[in-house]
Amino acid sequence: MSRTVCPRSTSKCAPICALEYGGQRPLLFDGQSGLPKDAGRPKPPGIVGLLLAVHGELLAGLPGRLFIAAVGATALLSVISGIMIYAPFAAGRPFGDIRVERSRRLAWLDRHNVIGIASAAWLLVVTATGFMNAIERPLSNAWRAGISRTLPTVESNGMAIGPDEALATARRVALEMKFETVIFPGKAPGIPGYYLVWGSGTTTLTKRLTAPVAINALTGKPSMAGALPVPWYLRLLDVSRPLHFGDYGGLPLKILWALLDVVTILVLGSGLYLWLARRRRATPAAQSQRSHGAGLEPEPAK
Amino acid sequence: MTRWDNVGFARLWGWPIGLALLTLFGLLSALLGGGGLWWL
Repeated sequence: MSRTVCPRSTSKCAPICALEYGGQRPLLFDGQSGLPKDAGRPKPPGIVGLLLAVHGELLAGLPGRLFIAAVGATALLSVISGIMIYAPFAAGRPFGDIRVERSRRLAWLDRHNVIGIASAAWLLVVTATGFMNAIERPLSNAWRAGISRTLPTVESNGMAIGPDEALATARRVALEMKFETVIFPGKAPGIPGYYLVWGSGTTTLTKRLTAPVAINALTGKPSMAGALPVPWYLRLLDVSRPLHFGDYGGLPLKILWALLDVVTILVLGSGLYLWLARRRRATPAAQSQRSHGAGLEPEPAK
Repeated sequence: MTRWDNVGFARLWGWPIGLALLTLFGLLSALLGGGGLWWL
């Protein structure tokens, strides 16, 4: 079991809420009184939380996450291969030209190509960042294991200081950061013997880049002056979260994200249709249709 | 030789590259601008 303390607002006087993870769900505690909220029961996930769990891990924990990562990697390869074969299938026609007069399959091939290439950059960003998000836990575990080896071992399992003291120390040694989370000493997501006080930068370029200050739980001293060094792959994760969910631009960006999701479904659906149609081409009737110029191969030279 | 070999690069890739640049510019400017546009 690990415990996390997080300020609920940016105000320095704001009460702090504590989240204690029992199993997979957070338990809420009042930051001022220390009493558990909701009679100490785990907070049930809402519909969005449930959908997020299905989307991110198929309700199957780490195995589900790794499966989703494999799906993300496959989707990324599909988009890249789609871009690579765009040129032969576009065949020198004007952008957006849909050959509706020739056959239904050919028209859907053109729609698939045009919609796919128009949204390719967004698809690349969302699939690549989705893959990164899916492997977040293995990456974090790898970083934590590495950083645990570099920090001096704290012999006792006891905690001589509280989370508020750890938070105050972190604020003192990293003045340029805004702190949001305190992870108690212990197993993942914590490390033994140290509070991890996570914060982010305050400038436009650094406010999405997070880093922890490690505070010795026995002595209350920081492990170093400032935050721990964060490797490039955790930096990539910091940027991947907002870019995958599109939740950094208010309602307009969310609506745009929803529309682009519909576009993605169109590309996926038409791709599936073209794949099924190609399989049906093996039948004699379809071979006859192919000989009349409704095939899906790139157009030959003239 | 295939037909697309004779097609000009700009004619084939002009729109796709333009849309890709517009997408990336929009995503990054909103990200750097904290939801707004960073240059405003």
